[in-house]
Amino acid sequence: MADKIVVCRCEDVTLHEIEEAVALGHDDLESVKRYTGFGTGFCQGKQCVALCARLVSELSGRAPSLPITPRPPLHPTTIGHLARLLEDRPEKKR
Amino acid sequence: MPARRLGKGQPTILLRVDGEDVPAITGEPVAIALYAANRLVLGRSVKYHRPRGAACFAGRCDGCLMRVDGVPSVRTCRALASSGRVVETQNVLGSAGVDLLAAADWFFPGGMNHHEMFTWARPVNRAMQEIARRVAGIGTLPDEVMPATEVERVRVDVLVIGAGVAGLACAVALHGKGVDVLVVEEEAKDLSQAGAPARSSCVAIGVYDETDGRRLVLASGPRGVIEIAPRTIVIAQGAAETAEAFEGNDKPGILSVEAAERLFAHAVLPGDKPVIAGDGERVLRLVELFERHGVKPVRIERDELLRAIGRASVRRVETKSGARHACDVLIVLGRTSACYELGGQAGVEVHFDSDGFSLVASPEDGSTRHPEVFVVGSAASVRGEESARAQAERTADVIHARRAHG
Repeated sequence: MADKIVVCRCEDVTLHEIEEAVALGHDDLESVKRYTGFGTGFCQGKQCVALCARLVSELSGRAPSLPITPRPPLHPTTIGHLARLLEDRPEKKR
Repeated sequence: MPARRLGKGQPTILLRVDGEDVPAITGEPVAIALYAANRLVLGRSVKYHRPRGAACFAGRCDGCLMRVDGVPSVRTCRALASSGRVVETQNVLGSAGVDLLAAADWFFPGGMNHHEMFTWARPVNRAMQEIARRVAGIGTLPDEVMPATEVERVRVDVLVIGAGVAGLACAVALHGKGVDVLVVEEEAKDLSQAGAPARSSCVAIGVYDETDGRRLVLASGPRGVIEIAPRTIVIAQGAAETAEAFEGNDKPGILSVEAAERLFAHAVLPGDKPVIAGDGERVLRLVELFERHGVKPVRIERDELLRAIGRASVRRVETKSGARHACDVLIVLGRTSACYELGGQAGVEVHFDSDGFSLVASPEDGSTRHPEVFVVGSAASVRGEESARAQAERTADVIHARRAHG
């Protein structure tokens, strides 16, 4: 039996799942992300977005115009580090 | 033993790893110490419980996540070794080598489609969700509630993000011209002699718009978050190798070229039966490093890679033309893509070429479509140290000239 081709390691998304998504009509990167969940794990796509972009462009014949939307925090950060951000925050800066 | 230490610097301390002592050198990344001790399988993946091991040693993958001193999901490539640190495998029922939940990997050979799986009857769906919640996920809660830390606020004229060749060249040039500049660098580099004010182990995690037109950059450091309010941002975060698709591509013992370079930089031989997939100068330099230690790597084309085989970590590589190579490490030169995330958030245009993404900036002076954001070095597709340095210095000139003309 063939082993899996894992395109997104953090969320265990396989090549088969990407192919399935594109076959169902998800032909842009953001839409494939929402369907399969690639790029939504611990590394937030740092390993897999370029690979998935290459695959989607190969499978759909359309080169992606944009990567998935990067949202903060871009690196794992503890809640304790963020908890006091809004506390004693100056009302308005110069 | 496949991986081994190469003379200079021998371990003097012990880490406590799943109840066993593992030798380490103070200050080296925990993941490097584990690799040097031939502990390649560090955990299991979220759904299929496939074995996981460090793949990048650069904080960019899920491979080295472990519980460290009671804190879950720590990237052990970023946690530094000190005497007595307690390191535990997470996400495992049994041991990292033999995980009972790995049956899920066999049960779903193609993958799981959450949109259709077990959705034919509501009670079945509910029961399956209950099971999935128990089985999936990474880590469990920390031993103790972590305290809320102070937020440090810094106002600076120019913030340079990344202390590689381009970032440092730009910062040093600006500092030399009397511009108030700060460099933040995510790695634990010694930047005390950098020639410009700099903070290491400090990673930018987001850019936010402020009401007065300034941007706020949040950076996460060892003691907490720093809120930096720069007028101008220079992004110099580089480019990195990305994942490649072949069967078994997620197995422990499969490394990027950068990961292998990092092992050598810490005087650790990545393996004594290496297979290297890919071409070019970096691969040649890597081959030379192996040969210097009496190891002759097998070289194959990246496009020839068919599958990696091995129950826990990689033991054999098969090519599309039918060749089989026994190995203890497979090094794959991944296609590179810029670290575009922060630039994209800051308003720089992101472009896809056939390999990956890059930030659109002038190769001349780093300028972008956002007047206060510049991108220098390989993040802007400027290749080679000389060209990167030259572009970064011209960027500094442009920023300085603007200040001079008000």
